[in-house]
Amino acid sequence: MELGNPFQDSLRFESRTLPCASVIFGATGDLTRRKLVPALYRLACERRLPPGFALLGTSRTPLTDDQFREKLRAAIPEFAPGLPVDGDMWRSFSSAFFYIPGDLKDPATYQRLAAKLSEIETRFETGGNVLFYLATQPSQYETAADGIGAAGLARGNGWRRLVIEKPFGHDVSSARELNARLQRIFPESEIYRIDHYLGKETVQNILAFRFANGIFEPLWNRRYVNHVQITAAEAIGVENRGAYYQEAGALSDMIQNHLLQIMATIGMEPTPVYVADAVRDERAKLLRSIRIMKPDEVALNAVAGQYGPARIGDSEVPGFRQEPGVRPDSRTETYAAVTLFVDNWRWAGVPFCLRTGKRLPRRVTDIAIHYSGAPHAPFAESNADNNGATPNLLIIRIQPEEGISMRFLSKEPGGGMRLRPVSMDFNYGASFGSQEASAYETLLLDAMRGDPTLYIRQDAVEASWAVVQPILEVWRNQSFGFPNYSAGTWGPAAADEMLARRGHVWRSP
Amino acid sequence: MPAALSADSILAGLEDFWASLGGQKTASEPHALLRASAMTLIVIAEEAEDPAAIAETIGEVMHDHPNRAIVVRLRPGTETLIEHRITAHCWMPFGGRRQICCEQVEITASGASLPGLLPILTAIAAPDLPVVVWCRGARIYHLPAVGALAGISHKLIVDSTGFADVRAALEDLAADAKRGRPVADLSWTRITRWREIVAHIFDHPGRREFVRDMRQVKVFHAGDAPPASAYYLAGWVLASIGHDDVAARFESVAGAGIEGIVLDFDSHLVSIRRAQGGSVRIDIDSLAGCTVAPRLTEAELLGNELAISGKDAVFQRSLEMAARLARR
Repeated sequence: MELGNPFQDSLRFESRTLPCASVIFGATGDLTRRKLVPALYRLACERRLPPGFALLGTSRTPLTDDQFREKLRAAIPEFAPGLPVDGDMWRSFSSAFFYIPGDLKDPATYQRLAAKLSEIETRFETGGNVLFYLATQPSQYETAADGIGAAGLARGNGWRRLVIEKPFGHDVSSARELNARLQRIFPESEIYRIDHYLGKETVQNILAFRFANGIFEPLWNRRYVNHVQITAAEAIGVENRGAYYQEAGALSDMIQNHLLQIMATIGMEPTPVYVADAVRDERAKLLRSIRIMKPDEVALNAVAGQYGPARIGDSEVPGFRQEPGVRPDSRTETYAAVTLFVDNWRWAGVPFCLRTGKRLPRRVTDIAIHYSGAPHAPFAESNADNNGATPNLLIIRIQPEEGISMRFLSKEPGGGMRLRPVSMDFNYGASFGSQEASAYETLLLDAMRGDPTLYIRQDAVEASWAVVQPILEVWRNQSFGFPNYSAGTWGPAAADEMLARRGHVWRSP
Repeated sequence: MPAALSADSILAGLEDFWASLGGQKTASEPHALLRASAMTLIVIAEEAEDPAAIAETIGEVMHDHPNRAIVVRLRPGTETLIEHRITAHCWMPFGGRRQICCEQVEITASGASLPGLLPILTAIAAPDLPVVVWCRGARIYHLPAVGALAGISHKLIVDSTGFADVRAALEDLAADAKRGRPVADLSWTRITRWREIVAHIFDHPGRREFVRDMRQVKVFHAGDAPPASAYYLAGWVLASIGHDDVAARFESVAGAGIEGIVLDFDSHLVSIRRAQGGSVRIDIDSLAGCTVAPRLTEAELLGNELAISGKDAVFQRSLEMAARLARR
């Protein structure tokens, strides 16, 4: 029987992570430089990485170990400002970085990786634990996974896990095909599909809010909820991702993954215990319960938009078609809004309105639960004009200023019974200070610890694609009058009309 | 003012204070301030202490643990003098649009008036939130009125590093903890990083076998006599492995506070020694590594302690063992 660690102090020490090596494919790319290594280094500085941690990078660029270390060091000031890069800490951390140049299609690359991993296992006492991270183009996922499998790297003395980034396919069948290829090499339990939205503290807090408090859950159903709005707005354009974004679009890039995952977290049933598969089962069940749109329903329940040029403040902002790398006649949507229904007892008939877009007035992600009005309103006359909005609103703010607000009506001071909406606010900063954990830190650590709760399982991926695919297919054959919204506005008029048909209005977050 | 001081007058003062702060809002930022409080922190200090330094520590702690701070400054003498003033600590969170503000009530009282102040402190604590008392000094900790305050507090924090008699301090704390007082000691908080490094080493399943063959724990410390934190560190090791027949040694070296710990097993040696800067060198037999163990500020120590609510069983076991080691 394995002995426990007698020195563990769960009250004060974080649960520990076993020593391991992380192999990053695409190690000279943007994701590694901007997200992965800064997150790993922050974990190291916070002393949350195991002492026997080693990083093995690979990509086609010929580099020595030292050049690789230097390349990553240079990225730290920009992407992890405030962390030291000249002292012992960085030297100690980066001394466990190694680099193997090679082509993903070349079996010799994997042989060299295997030899290095074997050396690392002995030198760092990793016990053979390896986390493979595919930070490559999605088109290379299968090649890399096949190479890992053919070299026998998917099995070893310790655990072997594979982390991949979205997109997980581009429709249901490609998602299934990708998964079938990956599952030939790794079992589903060792495949970690990352959606960084799920790593955000406030998204995780939705579960705590719903299931750790007794007062909200009774109101969390079709009897009380009129409709739900989920907004993920960005003020920036496509920046230097024009070429990529042109192939993806807002529906695939944001709604298919991030927003549907948030919707699943909002709508899922409670789990008896907080363990990975129980949580992922419930999320997947919710996604499978979303009604799939018929082609003739798409026009009524989905809106595509593309931003045009505008003057914002003192700046002339280009339209999407004027962005670098974007075709001047691009038909890609930079805005998408959909109204979805969940066919289950809890949510039957409740519209879930999801919208996302670029070049909207401000960067904000939030969820608004609009409650139905009182069954009889004795004060209706003095409160007739609520601009179409329901009086009671629960808002879960994900970014910025994470928190929760409840809006309700209150009597205005003075004579008569004049009502006015007021807000009761909970602000994270006001209760928990200004600590901010990066989603990648949370998720990387979870993968090393073997906790996939915040990762997306294959059935959820397929269910999400099943929801958006009919919309994508209709849009593919539809011509839009793009651009149909100006940069700096809340999207096309058609999105407002979509909600107006059910008597709703988008809130201004 | 002294004669009229009451909980009501302080609470009314707080309302007026916030009303005046709220009156400074602008048209573009109608809710520019957020009044934040997740607990009440009562700080009891000698009047001779620098109030600005105390306020700075509290202000720093508030960023992660927003609280209603009540600072009681004890003036020598027997006059029944009590006076108060209200201030706020405000900051703009990164990326935020509203300033977050926490209130601080500063009360100056004579030692003689402290018993009369207790009902006022009880009444002005933020309702329904935890109360933490921080006693800055051995004399204050031993005041009977502070003992009474312990009854309404969820945590009573001291820093035994400032106590002249370490042995007596550990014995008193151990006795109080046994009586159910929710004591916490920043000397214990100070060694968290050292403990974490040790625990980390034994996360490796292969090294857990070492433990039953432990022969000696040696703690390196600055100063002539071992500080409380040295006793805590050795006491924690012994309490964790569950037998106290392992020798505990203390060695004075140059530096500050804890400078290292060596665990000696039959055929293995684990050495953790402070190196240059904030780094620490770890040697496990022939395997060497480096990590960091920054020296924490008082605000960081206090913040770490405020983050822990409820009973700390590991501390209590280690405190008991530390007191026994100090007696030897």
